[in-house]
Amino acid sequence: MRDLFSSPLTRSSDLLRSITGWGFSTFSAFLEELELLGLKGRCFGPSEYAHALATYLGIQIGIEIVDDTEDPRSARWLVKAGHTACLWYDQRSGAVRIFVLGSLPPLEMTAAVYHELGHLAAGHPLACYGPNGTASGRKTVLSKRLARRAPAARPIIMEREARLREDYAMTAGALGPLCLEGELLGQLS
Amino acid sequence: MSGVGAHQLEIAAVFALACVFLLSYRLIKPHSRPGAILAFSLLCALVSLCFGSTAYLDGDSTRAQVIGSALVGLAVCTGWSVLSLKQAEHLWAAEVTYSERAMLRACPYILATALASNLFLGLLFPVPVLEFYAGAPLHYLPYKLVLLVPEAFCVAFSAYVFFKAAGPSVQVGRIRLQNFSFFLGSAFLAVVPLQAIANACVRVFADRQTRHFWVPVLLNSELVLTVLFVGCFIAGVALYYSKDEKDKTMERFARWRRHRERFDRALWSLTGSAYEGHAAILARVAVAAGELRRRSEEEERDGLPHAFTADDHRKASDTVRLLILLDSKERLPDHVSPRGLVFSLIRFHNHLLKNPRTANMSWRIIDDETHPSHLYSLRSDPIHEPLSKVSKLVFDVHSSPNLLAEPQWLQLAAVAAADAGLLGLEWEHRNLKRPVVKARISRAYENAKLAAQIHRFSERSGIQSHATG
Repeated sequence: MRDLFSSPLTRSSDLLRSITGWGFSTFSAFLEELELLGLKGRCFGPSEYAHALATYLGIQIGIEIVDDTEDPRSARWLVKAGHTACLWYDQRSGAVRIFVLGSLPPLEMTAAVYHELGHLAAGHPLACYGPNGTASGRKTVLSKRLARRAPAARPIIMEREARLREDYAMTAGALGPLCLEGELLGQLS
Repeated sequence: MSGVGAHQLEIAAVFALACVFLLSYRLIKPHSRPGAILAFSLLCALVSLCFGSTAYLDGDSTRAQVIGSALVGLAVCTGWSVLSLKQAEHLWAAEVTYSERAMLRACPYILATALASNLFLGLLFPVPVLEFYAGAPLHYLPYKLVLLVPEAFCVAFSAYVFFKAAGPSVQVGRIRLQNFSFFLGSAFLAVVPLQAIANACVRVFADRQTRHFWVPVLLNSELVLTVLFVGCFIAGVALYYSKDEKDKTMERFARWRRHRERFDRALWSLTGSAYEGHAAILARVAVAAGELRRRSEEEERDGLPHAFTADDHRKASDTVRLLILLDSKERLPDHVSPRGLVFSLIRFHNHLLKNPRTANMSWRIIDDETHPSHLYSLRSDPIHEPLSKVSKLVFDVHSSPNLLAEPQWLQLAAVAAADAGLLGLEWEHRNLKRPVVKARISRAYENAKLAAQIHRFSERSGIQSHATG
């Protein structure tokens, strides 16, 4: 009986999500998160955002540039597959490492780092790696997250959330005090 | 005047009020997009006139009524076609896909076909279309459906697109509210054809008593829906024109960022498999740039100014890559042409540079102080100079830029691009016939070509000697 009602509800909620982005984080919600990080109304870049997020979550975040000039074909393949950066989480040390392709143009590099940080802020499951860089095949969720909403369950929704957060971080970081919205307009969803 | 005429006049009055509102706004704020405001007010006046004119036709012949009804249809369809086209071209939201924009562009054709079919059917089998309380023959139903179904579809589709455009990818709250307001207006209007279908069914199938009960209900609901539609659109227009400088800056930044992302990805995709065909030009540019740089360093030791720096090498190869992109037949996301993309990107970039609040935008990507590429600054954006120079070189077709006065990196890029046929035959001809670049540039490029030939020859002979040995 429960399934009878929950299935159409889930489907219609998914449909609404796909049409309008209903249920996703909004720019004003992102600004509230920046307030928690102490970055609201300030200009910042990926390194400042990563530092503030690391302090809030109580973990370490390192951004590392991968020199892909030696193997441009693999880099191109990665870009075509939509991966310009990846995130590793070492459960034992509690350290997160973000690897980004070094040959990316500066803006793409910025966006790629923000995208991975977006997954972290939203509380999405993180791929676990050992300290020697070998994948354990497990995924884990951090005990603390920055987002107020619970993370989505489907990978496609998680990617869209991270993509939205990447855009928000680019705008908020680049424009700083300029993008503080009037309180009256608030959030639509 | 009959009840039917009064109803038509009421709807005409709603649109006349909207027209008055828009014209008043145009008078109060004469510099706020006066052309667009005037166009929409004239559109409202046209719809009002068409509804008003049919108020006096209900007693006339059935053919005259059909023509009168078609006139109303023409005004409504014209209005909605203009709106669909505006939506397709100017509604900026990441959620709206290329196919949805294509569908919006098709709406005028759908509506025109529907209106022509409606008029054709009406003239072939005349019906008392404006006698709202009278019963109607069975063929009245297909006559109405042929117009109302496409109308309902087009309006509902626009509403759907507005709903999507009120999504979270639009970062300015006011723009989201504006799109939501337009969505509500379109949704109210989409109900009008549906209730008109219900009206047609009542006139065809119901008896006199039922008709006299339902027709006034349906006509009143049409009036209410029209008022709601006009009200929501006026609210949307008011939100659109009340954006402050902060909202506009944020919107422009987001658009610049979207264009820049597409552009960077297009350049990246060209450095992939499609780029391999041009690898030889880039290699020659690299060799020639190396020679020019060595020479420049020697001159600097003799006290002459530095003419070719390490950064100039990057600028020259970026310029060639840009020219490859402009020459490519690649289909970019959303089917934007490379020229259109470059043109818009320069426009948005210059806009941000002119605004003192955005001109100094910069951020650090990682903490590594040693690598300059890990710091981004709008003012010293590495691609901007090659972009501006290329736009002058390629877009300004009527003038022939004096390359001799340009920096050496641009001369080198122009020579390489002309050699690869990226600048068109005219440029190739220009470069061959008279010296438009410094002799040292041509010489460095020819040397690079020669070096590449020797390298190829030695590689081939190496392979052959290896095979024979």
